[in-house]
Amino acid sequence: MDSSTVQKILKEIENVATESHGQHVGKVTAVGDGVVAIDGLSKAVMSEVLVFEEGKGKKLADAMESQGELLGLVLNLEEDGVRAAILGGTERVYEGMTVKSTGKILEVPSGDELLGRVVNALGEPIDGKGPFKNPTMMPVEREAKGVIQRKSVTVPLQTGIKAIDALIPIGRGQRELIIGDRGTGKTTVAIDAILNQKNEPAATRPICIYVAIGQKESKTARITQQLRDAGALEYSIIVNAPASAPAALQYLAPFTGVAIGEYFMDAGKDVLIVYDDLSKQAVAYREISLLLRRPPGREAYPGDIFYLHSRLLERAARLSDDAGGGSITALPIIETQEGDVSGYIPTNVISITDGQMFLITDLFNKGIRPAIDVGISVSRVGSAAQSKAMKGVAGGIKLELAQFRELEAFMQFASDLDKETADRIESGRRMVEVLKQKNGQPISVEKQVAAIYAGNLKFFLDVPVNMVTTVEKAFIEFLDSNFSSTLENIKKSGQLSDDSKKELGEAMTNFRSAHSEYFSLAK
Amino acid sequence: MEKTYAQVLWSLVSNGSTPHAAVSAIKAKLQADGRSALLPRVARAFARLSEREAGRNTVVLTVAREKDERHAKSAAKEILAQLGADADGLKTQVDDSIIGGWRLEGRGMLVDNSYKSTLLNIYNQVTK
Repeated sequence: MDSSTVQKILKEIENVATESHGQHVGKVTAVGDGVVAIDGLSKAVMSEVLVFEEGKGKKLADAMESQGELLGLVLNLEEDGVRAAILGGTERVYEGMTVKSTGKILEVPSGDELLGRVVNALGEPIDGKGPFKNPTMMPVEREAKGVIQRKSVTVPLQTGIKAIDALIPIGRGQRELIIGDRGTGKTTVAIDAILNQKNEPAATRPICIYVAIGQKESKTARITQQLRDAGALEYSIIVNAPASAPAALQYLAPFTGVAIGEYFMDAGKDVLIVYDDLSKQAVAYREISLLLRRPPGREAYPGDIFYLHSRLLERAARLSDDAGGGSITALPIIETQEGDVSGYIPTNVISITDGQMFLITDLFNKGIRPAIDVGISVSRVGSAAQSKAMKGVAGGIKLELAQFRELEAFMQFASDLDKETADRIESGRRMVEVLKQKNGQPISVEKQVAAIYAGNLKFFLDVPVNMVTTVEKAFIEFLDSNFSSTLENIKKSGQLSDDSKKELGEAMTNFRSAHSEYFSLAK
Repeated sequence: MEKTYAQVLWSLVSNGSTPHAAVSAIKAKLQADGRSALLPRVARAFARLSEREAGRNTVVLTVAREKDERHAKSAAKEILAQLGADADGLKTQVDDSIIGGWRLEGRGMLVDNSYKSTLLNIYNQVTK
């Protein structure tokens, strides 16, 4: 290249360079544990994004090698400076570093091209499939929709899990907490709910967002693969803030997830979002708050820990038709210690959500899976969204199961019990078996209705308890191949009509005569 | 604690007190509270505070070559006026890593008209 060309290029650059404007800047005065103290930035606003100037004093080639822009998030406004969380590697920040103000609140990309992708807490793709081409930027912090823009929860969100859809139904726009000790199947319940959306018609199928907070990378990789194998990743987005990520990113991840979801909700679509889990987010927020020298409160959590979760979960909503009719259904997960649901964070989130399902270690160890304790689990708004067919068959189960739990203690005196009590216990044991379900095998609602209807009619009473699950599965397959029109009618109408009941009765008789070997207890 | 005393000392002097009167007032207050031992730490905090204030008011012009200084000063005239500084009071430094152009930093503002910054922006946009 000749020297005149070089001069021309430099002249061009000079012309571009003179277009730049002044920026407010500050200087880093202290760095530590993901939090930075900055002197200056008197015009900074809360939650503003800052850019650390890494290239200062470095040669152009060295500056180009840095791993993208290093961002910060203003969290404390103080008299003579600000304190911010570093959204990246703390080791890249040094004392005296210049920090530029951007005047912008943190935004993350959203849009259809995020479907099937894995992103980090800043919305950047981390699955190696390249950058997003034309995303819509959504603010991470946004006020929840007001009362006027909302409407009641009336449309069911089928999880494909019998125990939930029958007894703790979830509606679109609801917030249902999944709570339990570690290793009780909380994540499995949430993932099954995502997998089951495959059964929904594409037009009304919710977009699913799984937010992994403080989880092992291996677990998130396994879940991603599970969704991919089941063909569920195409309508899902995974936001990953692993245990190895800075606390600031773990704190931000749920807000990133809901910001991505709001794009779809604003577009009139339904969204299902899983926060796995909010206890880890609370711990990350506690860490940041203590480093920011905010006054600690109960269990050293900051005073606004309730507001952290309430402002997140309030963003789940079902919008009115005028506002587009979209919805965000939230399934937050909370991990308890030794089954103690009276802890600070569990009680906070219980009070914010519209219901909760408790997963119990004892049930899990007994082989009752999902290990949901239906006696203490509730859904405050979901029954309004339950189909008539399901409502009709599920009505009596809760009472029956509650009575069974009362009588269960007397099972060891089985020989001394009167017939009515013994029958109730036997029936209860079989109903518990009917509600059992393997993970990764969600069942469509019409099949659930058929199975529970059969259970209500004591169809499994002559089946040995350990065979009930097998017989139930065989019965569903029998219905699928011989009575598919009956199932289709229940699905379409959402009701269990007299004709459908009659046909199911006929199916039970036919199945019983075709498979008499299962009914070995028949007198 | 000492930071607060240093800030009080700073504001006393800024509001017209003589250094002697301001220090005497602080000393008397510390003695009355039985905290005389705090005085050396107050002095160190005051030194840090004054250093920071001086840093805040200093405006630094960075150019790639010495010969660019005059052109840069005239180009930055308007911005300097906005910052309340004049070209004569500028601290100029030469940093060849900026390649060309100029960079003005001080009083909480940064105007980066360096070639390096422009090239980096282009690079970031292309590789984003």
